[in-house]
Amino acid sequence: MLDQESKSSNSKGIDELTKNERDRIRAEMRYAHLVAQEARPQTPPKTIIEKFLGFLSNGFILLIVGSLITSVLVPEFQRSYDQRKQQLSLMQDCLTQFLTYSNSIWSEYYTVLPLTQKLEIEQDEYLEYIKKISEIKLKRYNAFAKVIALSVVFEGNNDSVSTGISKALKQYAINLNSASTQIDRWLTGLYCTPTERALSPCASYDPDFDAYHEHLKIKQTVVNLGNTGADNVAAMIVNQINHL
Amino acid sequence: MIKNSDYQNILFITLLILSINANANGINPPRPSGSETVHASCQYRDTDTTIKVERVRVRSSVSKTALYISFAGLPQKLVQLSDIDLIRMLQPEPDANGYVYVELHLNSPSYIGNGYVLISFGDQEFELIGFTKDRTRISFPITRCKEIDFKQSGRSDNLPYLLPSPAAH
Repeated sequence: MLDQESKSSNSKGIDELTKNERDRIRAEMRYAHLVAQEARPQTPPKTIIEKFLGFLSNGFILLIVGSLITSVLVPEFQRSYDQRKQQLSLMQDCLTQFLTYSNSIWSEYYTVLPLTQKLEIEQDEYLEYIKKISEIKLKRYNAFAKVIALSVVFEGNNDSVSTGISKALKQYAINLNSASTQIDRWLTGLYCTPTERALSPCASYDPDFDAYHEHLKIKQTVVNLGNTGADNVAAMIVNQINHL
Repeated sequence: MIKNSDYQNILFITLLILSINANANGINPPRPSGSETVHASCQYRDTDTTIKVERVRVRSSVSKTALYISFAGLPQKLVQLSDIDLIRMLQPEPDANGYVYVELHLNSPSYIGNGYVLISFGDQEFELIGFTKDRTRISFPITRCKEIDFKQSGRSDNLPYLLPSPAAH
């Protein structure tokens, strides 16, 4: 009952205001609004960057940019990182195989070393040494095949260092083959060239063959190749790994 | 924390140090006695022809690669064939002890002059054995030669020749 009475009295009060009173109230309200606006501190105009940041801070734009980053840039960076990691691993494998390859000439050299104290060898001994050397050679061929296959990883970097590695590997292989051939020839000379025996077991031989003198030549070749040659190539590979 | 690149640097530096300080140098085995390759030219006393013998050695009870030689008033000593350049027989036959008087050209010790070479012992006549050009075995008594010219394989004929020993004059 009371609520109904107060509502009816309020509506009656507003209806009772004159036009002048209403205008005055309106003018006061406008004035109050103007005063409030004037009292508020002035904000400087936004710069282009602020406008751009404001644009970026938009939720939809953020969603689009985030999607682009996760779908394009992150996989690209990941791919690049994985590729470098794989390259590094292949280069390290190449170095390991190269060291196996280059050390094989030492094995070959030291295998035949005891024969320097002999003037000539019989067929059984010759075949025994041929077998030992063949095993070393097979391991070397295996290592070399791996080195060549893995060295492709250097060719991807089309710079002078990579080209240098390929060239150095080829040159080293030629020198190593040459040293190995010298050892073969020496072993053959020791078997074929008769000194005490009545005849040579071979169809031909070098009458000037001097086992000791020839071995000194082999030593010179192998020491040069095993030290300087191998170190140069290994250093080039390591250098390339460091630059990756 | 050690990074991957640090390991690479360590490896590189190790290799570099190894290449500087730990170069392998191989092994220098000793030369076996009498292993030098010697060729000889023997001028036959009877026919005056010369035969070339490759990889020559001596068949004797003393040594396969050396001869007993006495020169310059010194006691006899074994001289390797590779150290002899020339033996020119000045007597056709050895004396009762097996020595023959010869003109000697030695490379080591350096000597040119006369001396004695043992070419027989008891009933055994010392022989030169080796191979002919066609790779067949050959052997003949040293007494059959009037002059024997030895050449070590690889030695140049133009080496500065020996200084004459005072005993040669």
